[in-house]
Amino acid sequence: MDLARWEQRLEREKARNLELERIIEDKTRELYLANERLRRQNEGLEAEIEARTVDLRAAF
Amino acid sequence: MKGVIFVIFEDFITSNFGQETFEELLEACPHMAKEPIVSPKTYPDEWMVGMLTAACKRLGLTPPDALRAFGKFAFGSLIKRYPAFIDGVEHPRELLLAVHDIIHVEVKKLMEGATPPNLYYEDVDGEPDQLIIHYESKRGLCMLMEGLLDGVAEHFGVGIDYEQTACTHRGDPRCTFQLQFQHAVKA
Repeated sequence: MDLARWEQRLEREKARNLELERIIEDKTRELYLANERLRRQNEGLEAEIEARTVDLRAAF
Repeated sequence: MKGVIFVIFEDFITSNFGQETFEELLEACPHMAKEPIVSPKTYPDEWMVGMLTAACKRLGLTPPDALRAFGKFAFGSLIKRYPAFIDGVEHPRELLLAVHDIIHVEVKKLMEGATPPNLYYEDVDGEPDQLIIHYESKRGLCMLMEGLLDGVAEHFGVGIDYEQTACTHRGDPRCTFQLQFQHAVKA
């Protein structure tokens, strides 16, 4: 195979690596944001439980 | 079609016919030459049709023969990439029965936007060594399925005789494969 075709192949592999890195970064960001969302929801739920427990204690 | 199939197709061509052949095929498929093809992404089915057509022309193969050969090769590549799918599986029948409800479900989790074919199974009364598989796909790649069956048979060392008793390419509503396994299924 001539040099021009090997160069073409190399360029394709580089572009492929870049694309894969971009996908990994996107997915990592998505995971981070999903985890943050879950953490905030969890904190909200715990605060709500706390408030309701205080209300219940006051009622008895 | 998922990028993984394109990537395996590239392996199939380069392993069997050399790197230069693949580069030549790319010249006939300008979209694929420009786009960095990666496994998790989805690409137009037409790109694969273009690639197959170019390969058949360049290598003097008929599309059914090319699809069968590619299917057989693809099975080996798929189990190297996703070995968990064959973990603990001892007989091809067991694997084939898991394709629709287990493997394709996992494929959809791993690969956003994947649209694998639908497979429906039928037992043959009193014949545990036989199985009927109905294949439904808008892609009409039943010949690829034949090659995959050849790959499954080779991997397990259990011959599978199959016959397509119905085929969308002959005007039937779906493709039907009647399978006969050459080695007994363990009770």
